[in-house]
Amino acid sequence: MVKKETPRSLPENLTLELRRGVIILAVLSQLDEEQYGYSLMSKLTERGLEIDQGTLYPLLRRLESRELLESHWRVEESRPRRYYTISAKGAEVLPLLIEEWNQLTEVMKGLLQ
Amino acid sequence: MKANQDGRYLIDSYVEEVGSQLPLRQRGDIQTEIRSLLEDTLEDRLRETGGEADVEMVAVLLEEFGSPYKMAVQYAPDRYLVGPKLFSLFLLVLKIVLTVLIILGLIGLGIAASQAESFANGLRIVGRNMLEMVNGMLMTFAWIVIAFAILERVLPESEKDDQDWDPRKMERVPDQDKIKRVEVMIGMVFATIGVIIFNFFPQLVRGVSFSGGQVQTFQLLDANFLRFIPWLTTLWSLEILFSIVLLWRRVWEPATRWIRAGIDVLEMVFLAALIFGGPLFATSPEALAAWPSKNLVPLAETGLRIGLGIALVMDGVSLVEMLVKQLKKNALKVS
Repeated sequence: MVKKETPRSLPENLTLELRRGVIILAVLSQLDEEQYGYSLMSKLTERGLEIDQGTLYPLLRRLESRELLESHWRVEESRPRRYYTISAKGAEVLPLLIEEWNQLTEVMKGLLQ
Repeated sequence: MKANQDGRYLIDSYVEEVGSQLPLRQRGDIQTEIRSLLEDTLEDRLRETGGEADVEMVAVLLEEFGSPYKMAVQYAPDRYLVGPKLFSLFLLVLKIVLTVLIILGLIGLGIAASQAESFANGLRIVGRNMLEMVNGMLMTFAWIVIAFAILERVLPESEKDDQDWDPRKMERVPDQDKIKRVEVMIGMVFATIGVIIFNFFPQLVRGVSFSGGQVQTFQLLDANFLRFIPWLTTLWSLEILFSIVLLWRRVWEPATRWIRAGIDVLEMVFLAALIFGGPLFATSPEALAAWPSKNLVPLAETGLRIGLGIALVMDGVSLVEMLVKQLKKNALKVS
């Protein structure tokens, strides 16, 4: 559907868009050890990056469909949980993204000064 | 609704609502994942607060996850013809329109077949009408998809629905394990009537003809069909016993599901034996003379076999559904 932005939703949407790229990098950087959705969410929050739950969880699946993550179901405490970990392809891409991120933050600092 | 009642049913409703807006292929997996995430978060909060998972607590949690629509949009594939907002409406329209088409098609088929002059001619008419029906259904499906694809791209997206969404107002998802008492009772009544008529009043299962202003009855069913009566009686008796057990237990349990599956298999074998067995309607000169037209007998045979075939397919579908439900439950328990 065609999204109609209101004065109320505009800043929120722009912030979301701004964060979207950051979230991918943040998620890939934290998945060298396997995590399930909620544990990853808690880990990111603990380290100061608060992400909307409705954004993070679907993103994990999208990254998996792009073969940057791998996942498997495991049952713990009588509940099935999907565990995610970075894939070989994701591990290859991550350093490139980090390098890009470092360059970008330098550029942005200069622009915003 | 009391605020302190267990609010976990809201999770069921939420998961169901998100699922209804997702493509079937991904639905089950995404629903399991969302449920797992919600329960993890809820459990963590309960540990922190030491309280109960009441309606308010679960509702606040769901509000944080966002409306079912918002959640479905996040999970939906990037490119789609019909998006989450219209998907459930699309399925509803599709079901209604296709059902109407099938009913109209079958009525037309019946009328056309009844005017056939011979059995071969009847088969040709049935074949042609069936092809036309399938063709019509495919065309209709395509037009509905096109219409919804256009709506998807033209309609403005309103944020009002999302802002107005209140998890507290969601309705409970019907319990899949709870038996439908009325359905079970109706099935039991019909099985009982069947047993009584075929075993104690077989004279009622006769054809009726009017000749010379007099009503006459004739043997309608062939002796080949009548030899199946003991089998039919056994199956109906099993149905009756099973219905009584089900009404007593009130819910579907693994044992009752497996017994149901067993009875379904027996029914399917029985139906297949009828369909592929000998004649169903009596073809004695007396019986043939009683029909308005001799040509109607083979048509009635074919019609009855098609009806039995549909019953066989429906039994098969219900069997698969039941097995999938039970295997899913088993998988969750084991894992």
